[in-house]
Amino acid sequence: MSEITLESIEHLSLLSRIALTEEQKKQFAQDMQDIVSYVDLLQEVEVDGTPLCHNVLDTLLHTPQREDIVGETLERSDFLNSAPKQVAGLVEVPTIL
Amino acid sequence: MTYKLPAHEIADKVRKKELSAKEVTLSFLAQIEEKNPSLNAFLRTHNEKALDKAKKIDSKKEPLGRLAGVPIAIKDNINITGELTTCGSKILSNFKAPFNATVIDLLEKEDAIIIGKTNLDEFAMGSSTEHSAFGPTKNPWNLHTSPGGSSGGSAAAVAARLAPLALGSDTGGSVRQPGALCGIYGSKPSYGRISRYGLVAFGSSFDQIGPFAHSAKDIALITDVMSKHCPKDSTSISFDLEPLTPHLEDSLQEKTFGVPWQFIENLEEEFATSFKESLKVFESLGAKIVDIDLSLLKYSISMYYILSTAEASTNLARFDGIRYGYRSEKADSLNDVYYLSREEGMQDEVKRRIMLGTFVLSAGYQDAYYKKAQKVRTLLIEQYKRAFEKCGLILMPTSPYKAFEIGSIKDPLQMYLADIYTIGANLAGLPAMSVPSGFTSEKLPIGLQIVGPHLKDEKVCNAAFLFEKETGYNTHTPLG
Repeated sequence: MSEITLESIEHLSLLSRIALTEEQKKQFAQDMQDIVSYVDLLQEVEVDGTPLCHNVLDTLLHTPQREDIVGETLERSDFLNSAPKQVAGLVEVPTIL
Repeated sequence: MTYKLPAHEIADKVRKKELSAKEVTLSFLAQIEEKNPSLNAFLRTHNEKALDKAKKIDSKKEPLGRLAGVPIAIKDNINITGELTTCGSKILSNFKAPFNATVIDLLEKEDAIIIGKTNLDEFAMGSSTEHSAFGPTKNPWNLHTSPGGSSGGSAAAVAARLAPLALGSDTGGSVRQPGALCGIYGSKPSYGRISRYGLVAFGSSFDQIGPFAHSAKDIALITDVMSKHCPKDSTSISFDLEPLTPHLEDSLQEKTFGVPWQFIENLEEEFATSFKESLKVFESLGAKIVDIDLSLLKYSISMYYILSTAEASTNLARFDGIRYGYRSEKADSLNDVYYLSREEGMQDEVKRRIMLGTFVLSAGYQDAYYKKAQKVRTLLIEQYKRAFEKCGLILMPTSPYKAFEIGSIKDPLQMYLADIYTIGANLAGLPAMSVPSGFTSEKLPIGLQIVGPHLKDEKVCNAAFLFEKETGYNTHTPLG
């Protein structure tokens, strides 16, 4: 069984880009340990030779393709208006370099 | 008493000019104004737009559409141009959708009136509608209890007759379980039947938009309107599907229903008695009941919480404080924009699921969790196919619990178990509907679940309709 430690929570916090308080780290370690222990039930199922489920429906086996023609798109302003900050027609972010 | 009418009757009367769309809209808006403050089912209503649309419908010269003048409530994770789509989250609290979901276009084309947006568990992650940044929704049958979730706002709205129809989304039971707890119909159509374009993604291989109504006929009506191939959703079925409405009256004589007895043996007594009574109703309609093997459903919650969180962890990566919604004021570096906006903008259940999904996909764990679950999913789909060789439809309870008190389930894993009977249909992409099938001794609703083979939604709705004609549980309302 996998053990969820405070270090693993800190690693997951980094990978998922979510800051956590010390209290949350402890709580999440406990919650996730409970959940992971529960889902470990799956390990008893014999799956040798079984393919991964890539598609729920047999009808979805092929990815549909469309002609390479420009279709309708949203206005630039529609995208920009969704952003928290914009400047000179661009999304504004803090200095990167 | 316009607000008590089912949707198909409203549409008929509006088409025949016996009722105006304006009268209908005003009737429902008055109900919302009176009852919503105690229910918190709607997050907001679109009064002006709705009345404008009603006016246009009333003055239209051409024949009116199939949903003429029918007000419809929309879960707040489905986009409507120019309106807020918050997903019940602070991180999207100021996000206005720049485009319509395909379902909104299809409903409006048939002269429906989009009346407002309804509450949900944040990003549709939950089974109680308690985990919304905008407060919990209450169950109209008992205001101390939860309406279920995550589409609890839509379910409570239809149950309390604040709208004749509503849309929700069902990733693991989020339409059927609140349907059961609120005593109404809640349907999860087959995966691929209804376009997901414009539905904010949670678990893309599970998500399906589904309707709530107080009659099976209304479920058929709105499902038929929304069943259309959509090139903007690559999983949308591209061939013609059988409509539901023409099959409502099909006979159930000699039809076989399967029950996975082994899987539901621990059902509470009151629920077991109700379930057995429902089976007798189908037998009285000429159907046969047989035992089927769905032993892999024992693993459905395990599979679901590995696969849906894995998908959610990637789908929700886009909410990073850069392109939409909320950005932390405290952030002064790019990394802090990500970390702090997500920390401040999302609540614990969403964070827990993103981190769990990240865990099952991370190096060293992917084979043991993600890939293992994908393989068991393949086996479950095969097991369903074998079951459907023995029966035409499957009958199960919808929920293992009646409506529970708000705040009473604190352990996340206990909350996940609320979906034990519904998740299977999402794992296999099957059509499934919760049907009102009785009441507990405290007069809280009980739901029966009917599950069909891939794309055979018309058979599910047919059985639901005939069951309704025999039992009439849908005529009970929490209005007294």
